[in-house]
Amino acid sequence: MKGQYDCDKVGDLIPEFLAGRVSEADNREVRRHLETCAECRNRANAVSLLQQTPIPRPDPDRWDHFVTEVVEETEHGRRLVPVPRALWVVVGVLVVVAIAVFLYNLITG
Amino acid sequence: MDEAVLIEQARRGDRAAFGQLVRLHRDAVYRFAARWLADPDQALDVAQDVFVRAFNGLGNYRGESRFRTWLFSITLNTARSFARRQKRRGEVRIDTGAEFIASLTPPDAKAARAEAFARAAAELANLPEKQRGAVTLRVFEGLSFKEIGEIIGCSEGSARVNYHHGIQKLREALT
Repeated sequence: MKGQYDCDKVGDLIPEFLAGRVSEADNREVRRHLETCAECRNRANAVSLLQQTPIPRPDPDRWDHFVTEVVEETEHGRRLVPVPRALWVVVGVLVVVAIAVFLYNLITG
Repeated sequence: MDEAVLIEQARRGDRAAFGQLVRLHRDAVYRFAARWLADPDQALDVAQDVFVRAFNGLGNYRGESRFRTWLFSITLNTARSFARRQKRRGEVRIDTGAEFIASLTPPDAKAARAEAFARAAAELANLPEKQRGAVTLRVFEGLSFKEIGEIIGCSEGSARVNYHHGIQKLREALT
């Protein structure tokens, strides 16, 4: 007797079951199913192995400065908003025209 | 302080509030990226990128999903781009999972157990993208299939199918 839960339902619940985050009723039914279903036991073993696989801590120095670096980077992003190329062209043309007018006035008195 | 308040303040440009949001979620974002990419150094780069993108895109966050779910979506997109860039450069390594796990130095780990962990990480890294995303988000982060669907870009039902197919492949490979 595999209990009230089928393999799909148990499969959905395995991660929470292994982490101890299921209700009492779910816990009871998942256990009952696993006792008699070798396939689900194997899947549960695979999930359990994955869950226990440790994750390496990142480089401690980078980790300590992580928040500061991210915040600084957002500030740089704001400071370094690129000025559109067209705007530079307009500014350049205006400067050239201004110089030309100045020189023309200077020469013609 | 309440997360919603921090988000609102950060949206108005308050970097101190955004810094608190980063502190709240950096572990989860790093963890997801590290599992998905199977590389701690790359994961740190990706995590940093994720938060900068999140800050710049805060105006697009409407609060329809949990903030962490939204961050996971950005993480997945960023990690994918990262992996693709590497692939274009021919930098993909054959056994990333084994290398990932080899960087661990658990003092009391037995060789057989370390080997089993290495295999598990390697097999996870070898799953197709959507299955890897679904398995990682379900097994390690405990997300619902609806949330997983939002992140990997499919329906709740499809997220469930991807998860089960992924677990089935892992079971076959690991047992």
